[in-house]
Amino acid sequence: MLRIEEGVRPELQGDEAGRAHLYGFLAGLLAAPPSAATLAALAAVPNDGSTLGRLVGALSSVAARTSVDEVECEFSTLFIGLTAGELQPYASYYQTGFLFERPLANLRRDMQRLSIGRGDNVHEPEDHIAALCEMMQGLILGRYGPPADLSVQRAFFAAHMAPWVERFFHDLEKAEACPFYRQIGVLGRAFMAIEEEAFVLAG
Amino acid sequence: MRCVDEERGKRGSGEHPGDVSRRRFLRHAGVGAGAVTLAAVGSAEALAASDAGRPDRTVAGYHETAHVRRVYQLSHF
Repeated sequence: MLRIEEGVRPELQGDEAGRAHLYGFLAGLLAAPPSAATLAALAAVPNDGSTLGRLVGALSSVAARTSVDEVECEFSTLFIGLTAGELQPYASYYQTGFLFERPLANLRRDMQRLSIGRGDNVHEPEDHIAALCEMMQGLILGRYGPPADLSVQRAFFAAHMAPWVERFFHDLEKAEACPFYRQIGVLGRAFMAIEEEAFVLAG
Repeated sequence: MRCVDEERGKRGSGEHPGDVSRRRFLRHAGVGAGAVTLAAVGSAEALAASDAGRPDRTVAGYHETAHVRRVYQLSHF
């Protein structure tokens, strides 16, 4: 398995590499709860004083006082539950109120166009927030061919994330019983807002 | 997710002039610096690898079955 720094191409540096890091980071934590080792590594991450750095620092502080059992419990409460979790992190659900709706069909069409296929070990519908973050990371890094033009990234983001991800992360922020994932919600919402604004600036 | 077409055609990496202001904005927001600190934590793959020894689990207990695939077909997804 890759460490993230191994997954970033040498020519991809600075902010673009940072975007890929953040998408990958969110994808990992929204697909499964972190292990004890990941939680410990996160607890050691410093606050660099930037807008996102402060949020990462806040997440690090929460990680330092959260056990792996607690974070697994949070994840289960939010995304699994006895019959269903508190949140349904799917584009279809957030946009139509139902799973497996038109947004998933539209995503599958674009995935085919962009040569993105579901991995054999993936059991979720592709419009899961973690899968979408992973796809954005892959487009930036060039995992599905050459690194995608910013226009391609912007179109993918606009079509499949912008309509609903801010509401999802806002809902995650409101999960009072889940302090670790609440902070993921804060970080995710801030990053999505930055991405949206940055795409606008690119023209 | 994986690439399903290794021979996929060119997807250029040309830069739009507006990228200058975009990059300035991203830098000011700390996307580069903030994210580099997260590199020590790991990517989706690394995080998934850290779960390698655990029982198989999915995010919401969803499994694609023959029945689900049939629904996809009938729904023209």
